[in-house]
Amino acid sequence: MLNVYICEDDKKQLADLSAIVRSTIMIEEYDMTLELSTVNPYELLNEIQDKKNFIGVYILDVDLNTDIDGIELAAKIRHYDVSGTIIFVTTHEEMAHLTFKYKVEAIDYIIKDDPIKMSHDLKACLKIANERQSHENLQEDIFTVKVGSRRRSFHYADIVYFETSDTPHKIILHTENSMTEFYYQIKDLEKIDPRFIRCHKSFVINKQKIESVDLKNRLVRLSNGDTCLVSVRAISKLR
Amino acid sequence: MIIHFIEISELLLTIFFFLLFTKLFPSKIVLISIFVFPYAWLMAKLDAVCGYRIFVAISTLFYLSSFSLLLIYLAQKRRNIEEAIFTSSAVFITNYFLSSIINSLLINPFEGNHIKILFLHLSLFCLALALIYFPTRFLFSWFKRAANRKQQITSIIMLTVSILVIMNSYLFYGELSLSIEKMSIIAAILVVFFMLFFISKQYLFFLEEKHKIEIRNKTYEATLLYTQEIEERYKELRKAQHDYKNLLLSLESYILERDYDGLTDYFTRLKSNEVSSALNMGTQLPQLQNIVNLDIKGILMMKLLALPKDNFDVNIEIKESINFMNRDTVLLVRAIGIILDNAIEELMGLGSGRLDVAFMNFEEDIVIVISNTCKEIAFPLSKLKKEGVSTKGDDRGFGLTILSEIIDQLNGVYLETIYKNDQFTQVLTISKEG
Repeated sequence: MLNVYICEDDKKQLADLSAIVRSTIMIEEYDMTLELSTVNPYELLNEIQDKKNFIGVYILDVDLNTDIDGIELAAKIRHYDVSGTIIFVTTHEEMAHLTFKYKVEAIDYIIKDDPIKMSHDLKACLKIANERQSHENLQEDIFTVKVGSRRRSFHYADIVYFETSDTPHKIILHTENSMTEFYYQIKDLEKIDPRFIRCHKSFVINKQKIESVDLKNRLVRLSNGDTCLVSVRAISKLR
Repeated sequence: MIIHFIEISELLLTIFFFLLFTKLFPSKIVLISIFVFPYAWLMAKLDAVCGYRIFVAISTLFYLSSFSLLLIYLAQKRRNIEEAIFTSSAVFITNYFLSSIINSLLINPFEGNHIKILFLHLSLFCLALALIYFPTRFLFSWFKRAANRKQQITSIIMLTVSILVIMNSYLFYGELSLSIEKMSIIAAILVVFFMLFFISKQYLFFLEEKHKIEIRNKTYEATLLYTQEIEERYKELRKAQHDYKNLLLSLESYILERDYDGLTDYFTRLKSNEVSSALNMGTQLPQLQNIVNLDIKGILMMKLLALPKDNFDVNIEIKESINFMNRDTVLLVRAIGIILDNAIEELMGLGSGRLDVAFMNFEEDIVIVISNTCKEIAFPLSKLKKEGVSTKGDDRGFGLTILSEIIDQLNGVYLETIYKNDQFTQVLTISKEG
């Protein structure tokens, strides 16, 4: 069950948004209810503050005409509901897609300049939110780490390998198309899942990402094209 | 000859040890090892032919000159006189004490089978070096954390001690008591070194000032450009406002005449018109004012204004006030500069594309996202950090190597690199406290 919350300062647009959401839920028979639509961001915060065990979908305007804006509101929502879906409604000039994506991990933004396109985009977003819920049970396979005070999550299946950096305790996580640094103990990394093995004092690799093993030179080639060293002791783990 | 050979190898080992320790080890220095043999042979000849007096003079001279060479090398690399003195003094002091301890431990230090002695001495020496690894690490980290004044005093004391140590054989040959002659020579050498110390200190300070002035000039130029840009945008905005008033007037006339068909028609034409986009323009660059730190604002202005705005789509998102409170921003400015340079160079190569720059506040961090259109990268991302590898062909890939070196020097700074859908993105997470 998903709870939908809408916060928009313009009463007319709030009513429009609510109507679109209500009709979409009904027509598509989504497992959702429109819990609250409000002009006051604090009302929304109060509502979700003491709630437990729920997944929220938040449709927020960026400019709320109060002392906080939609981005700050979303950041506060993230305190209570880490996995909720956040969708921004914005005009073209307020657009800040990187901020939406990185700061509050919003799934999408809807530009409200064009009412017909807005309605279409909102429906698409609700569909995504609904699909995300059905994938929620996959959550055990996610590796979550703090990069400073920023939370980053990776699917185990995306992680190719971990590597220690020149700075003590700093780890670099490699996926097919990204590198991410954070603080961690390398010896704790092989414990997160059996598919991760410590093949060298400075490498923990994902077993499923091995392309080939060169036992003679003690090297292992991974799916993203990188090669890692293998220590003598770890050879048995790779056989 | 064996004595000299052992002595010089020990010195070389200590130098290697400390250079490795400070991560300043150039692979070429291994070449110096070739000179160990001729030097040992020369010293043995000197000792035998010219007598002890000359030998002591020459070897002291040799040690003093190698001390100054090491000092100059370190000062050049680190640009920090105190640290250079500390390291090079540490080399000579530890070398002296370790080799005297080993010599006194062995009963007949230089008698018997040469190869055996050599092996025994050098392996003992290596063992001793390994043993002092942790104490030295402690000492070095203490020195790095110490206050400026303390560093200065420590390095001066170390300098004195090391010169005394280097000249010990000169001091104590002949009679044990110190003659006026010897004392005055030592004093003269010390004075020369101290003078060098203060002069180079002053010189470095001067260089730094010059660098600062240069940066200030560049920032000033960028600010001028920025002001011009803002003025232009302001003019555009004024024009748009003017158009807007005219629009309202014509709308009013439609309403007054109750011509609703005409009104609807006019309205739809308006929405697709460029007037509204003119209103939106000019919201990009002024966002830079949200950055409190002038040097960071400066580098952004400089780099972003360098990109011709006709072919490229630049999007800036700095919605909140950004303040790197107590952080030293010198290295950060360099890091941001390198990321922007890489992005702009790539875009210029492509001829068109999109550049996104975003600054945002997190609880304890500031996150900087810089993202640019990029042609396909056909190799693992980790290769980008290797020297000489770049998306732009040969010998231009030092940017990212330097970037990761800078980030390794900074506390609480994390780099994330993503390449997805032809977008190359660098995310810097920087803790505000440093």
